Amino acid sequence: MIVDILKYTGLFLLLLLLQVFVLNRVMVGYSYGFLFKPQIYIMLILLLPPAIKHNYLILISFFIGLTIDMFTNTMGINAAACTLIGFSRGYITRNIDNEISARDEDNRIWTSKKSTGWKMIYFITLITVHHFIVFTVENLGENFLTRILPTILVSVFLSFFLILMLEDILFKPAKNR
Amino acid sequence: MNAIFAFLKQYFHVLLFLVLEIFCTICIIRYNSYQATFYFNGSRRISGKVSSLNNELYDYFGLYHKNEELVKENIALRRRLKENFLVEPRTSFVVNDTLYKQRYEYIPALVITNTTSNKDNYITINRGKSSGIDKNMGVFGPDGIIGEVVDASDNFAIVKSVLNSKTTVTPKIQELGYSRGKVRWVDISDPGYVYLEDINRYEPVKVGYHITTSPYSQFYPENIPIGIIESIEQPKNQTFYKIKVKLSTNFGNISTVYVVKNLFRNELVELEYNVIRMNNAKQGRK
Repeated sequence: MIVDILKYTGLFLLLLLLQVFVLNRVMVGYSYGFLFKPQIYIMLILLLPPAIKHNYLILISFFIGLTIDMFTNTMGINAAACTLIGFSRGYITRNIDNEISARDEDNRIWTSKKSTGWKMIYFITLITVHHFIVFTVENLGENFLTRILPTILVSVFLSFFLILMLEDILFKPAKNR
Repeated sequence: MNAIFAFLKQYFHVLLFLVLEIFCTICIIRYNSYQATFYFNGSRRISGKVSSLNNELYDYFGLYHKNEELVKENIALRRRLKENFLVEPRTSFVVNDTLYKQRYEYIPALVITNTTSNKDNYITINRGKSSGIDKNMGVFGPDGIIGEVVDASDNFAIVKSVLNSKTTVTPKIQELGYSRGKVRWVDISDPGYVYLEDINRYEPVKVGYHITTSPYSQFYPENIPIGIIESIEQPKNQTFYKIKVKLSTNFGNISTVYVVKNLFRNELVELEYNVIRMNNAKQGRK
């Protein structure tokens, strides 16, 4: 339990650093820079253990979003999106705990025990919801088709691949260690 | 009570979610100026729509008063219409030209009283000697002749209208181009018509010909309309037509008139008088 908390705290710090000091400052290109805004910190919300209580999930999501907001100076936007993701994630992963905890012998992350297809859908759906809310609220419907929608599409795929990569790197199967 | 607690326990996460989202929304509006303007603009738009709807409703109930106001305004504007006014140059304008000598001067006036039902009808106008109006001046309106001044005080003048048994006007038949006969008001019952008398039955007059003032008139300038020939009767055993002329002026509603001042009249009258006197003297000498 404590180990889990420490693990997730470490992951949170790592994601925070990556998000705030690397990804938010990288500028890809000049005229199309607005397209590349990956938000990988939500990986933490996606990877929180399914056994966690729904209330805690919502609260933790909220605080994660709020922390990011403090660094990016967009008070409340990321928090709102994260709270929504945490809330909906609670319903998605409600019954997973029973499926995988039965065969939880090594300390692998729980997502690696699910099928790749499920994982992709799970990731992409929640990332899309989050990005949609964040970018829409950020620009509030102005130039939706020309600016917001492309940003959402590009950033969702970037975030998705970055999160997949990070998950692969950080949570390697135990036999490779 | 227990049921409420149970309900709260079961749906606490929903409650938590909603509370946090509301908190986030407040944060967004509070700390992000761009989103705040959007929010305030939107809310203003909605409240503006509601209040305009309200206004429309009250406008509908206020239509009666609005209508009244409009009628009042209309009347006020109508009073200021150009037709109600008269250009009144107190100092009548006189042209001092060596080639064209001005013969007539026009003095505008307003009708104060007017009758059409009597045998001898008179019109009172609001100008008198102070405006240069005196006896024996012709009066015409925008549509045609009206009469001649018979008397004038300082500020008023009495006009003997065409609808008077003592009035005769020398007419010109516009289409024929010469003066014949005289115009008199005979049919006392009808103020719309006068009769053109003393027209020989061999004159080629036709219905529809225009009757205007003659150049030989003492009172009027030439070509002021009198009326249009309405019907031509030929009484048996008589050499003259009985020609009914529809007056071009509607005497029922004359309001603005122009008094004609013949600048040569005194001279002419004096000359004619002298001639007559000399004739009389000659005859007397004989």
